[in-house]
Parts: sequence; C-alpha cells; structure tokens
Amino acid sequence: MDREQFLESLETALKSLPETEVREILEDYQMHFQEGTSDGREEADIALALGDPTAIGRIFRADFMVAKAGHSATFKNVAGAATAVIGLGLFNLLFVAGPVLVFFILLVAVWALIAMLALVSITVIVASVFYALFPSWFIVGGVSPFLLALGFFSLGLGALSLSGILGIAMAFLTRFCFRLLAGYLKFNLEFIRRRKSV
Amino acid sequence: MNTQFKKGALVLCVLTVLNRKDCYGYELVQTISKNIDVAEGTIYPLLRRLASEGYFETYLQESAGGPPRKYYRLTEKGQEYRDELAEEWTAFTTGVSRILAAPINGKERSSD
Repeated sequence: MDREQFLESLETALKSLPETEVREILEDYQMHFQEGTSDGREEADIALALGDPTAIGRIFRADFMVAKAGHSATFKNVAGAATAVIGLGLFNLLFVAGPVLVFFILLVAVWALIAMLALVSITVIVASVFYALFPSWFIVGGVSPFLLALGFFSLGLGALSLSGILGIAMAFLTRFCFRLLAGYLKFNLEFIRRRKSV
Repeated sequence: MNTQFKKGALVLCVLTVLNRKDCYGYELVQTISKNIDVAEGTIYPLLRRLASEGYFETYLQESAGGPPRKYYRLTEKGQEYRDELAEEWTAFTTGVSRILAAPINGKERSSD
C-alpha cells in the first residue's frame, strides 16, 4: 500500500464525519508521510507502520460520535455513538449492547405506559361529552345522565393531567438517561482502549 | 509482551514525552514507536482526542524546507493528568514487581 491508497482508504472510513474534521485528520497523515519520506523511508514502509487505515478510521469515528453524544445527548447521537463503539470490535458488543438495550427497553416501556394513560383518559372525556349530549345512546338505569357525564369528564381530565405530568417528568428523565448513557459510552471507549488496540 | 498491557501505558507515554518538550506529530509518533511496538497510525486518534479534551494545545511552526509543522504543547490540565497517571502507573508496577520478586506464602509456583 502506498501513500495514495492509505489516504484514500482512510478518507473512505471517515466519510460520515464533518468535512473540516476529515480534512484535519487527513492533513496529519499527509504530513506523516511527508516527514517519513524526507526521513528516507519508503511510502510502503510508512503505511505498513501506520497500520490498517480502515481500523484507524473507525477509532476516529467512535471518538467523534462519543464526543458528540457527550455534548448533546439526543437519541440519535447516543444511538450513533453506541453503534460506532460496537463497530470497534465484537468484544465491545457485550459491554455496550447489554446496558444500552436495557436502557432503551425501560424508557420505551414507561413512555408506552404514559401514552396509554393519555389515550384512555381522552377516550373517557370524549365518551362523557357524547353521553351528556346523547344520553339515549347509553343505557344506565336510575342515574342522572348529566351527573354521570360530569363524573366521567372529571375522571378523564384528572387522568389526562396525570399523564401530562408524568410525560414532563419522563422527558427530563429520558434526557438524564441519555446523558448517563453517553458518559457510559465514553467510559467504555476508554476501557476498551486500555485493553485492546488504542 | 501482552498487547493490552502496553496499550494501557500509551497515554502516559504521550503525555510524558510532551511534558519534556513540544513535539510535532511525526516526531512524537517516532519517539513512541521507537520504544514501544505499536501501530503508528493509532497514535494520531489519541492525540486528537487528548487535544479535544484540553490536555494539549496545538500551534503551527515553520520548518526548514517544508510546510509548517503542527506542534503539540501540554496544557496545565494535561500536566496534572500526566502526574496523576504516572503516580497510578508507578504504584501499579511497583506492586507487580513486588509480587514477581517474592513468592507468595513462601511457595514457589512450578513452571508449566
């Protein structure tokens, strides 16, 4: 492999990173080849000593994604960082995929619960309005239709506000969880770096 | 030597080399790879990460008969981090050396 091939493979491996980032990284390796050549080394030797450009690209990508998730812990960034860290090797799958999966399943479960509560309460509210307007559609013996409708309406309203409060709390909790997860990924990357290739 | 083990010390080595003097990338990589068997290309991601975490600053300086070189300079934060790692490293290796030197419970393990 010569200089050209090395840089091309590295660029391909970096293609999902921002342009300025890619340019700066490639400049460092271009300089490395230049210094090596004026040091009297062959391009092929320099490339060999540098190592696999695709593997090097993966390290840069994982670093970038983890830093990004650390700055803004959105679902997309955290999921991207997790994927990039897993992409560093099979070994990491155990350490990353397990906790990440548990995190996401828990979050999805609580969100589903809140959504269901909201759905049920909206149904009750709508049903009570219909009941007040068209009591003859419903068969309830002996109770004032209006009173019953009022009861259901307030019940629905209560449940809806409860789900709203829970939703807001969960939104904060979700963001906190993502931040936690981003921190975990960063720790994981450092941990892997200490055990495996840099 | 075990790969896992020597990679663990790489950050410490990079920080220590820069603690002595500012280096440009190639110089730093050669200093490390002369002493430690490592894929030279994996040192650059490390430099970039440590720079982004505020352990180094970079600056350009003209070189004789070539484009300007990018130099790395350790920051105060980087120095503190280096000292911390060096201390951990010394404590760890001292412990390992002690265990290697003295058989535990007076029993010598048979070599297999």
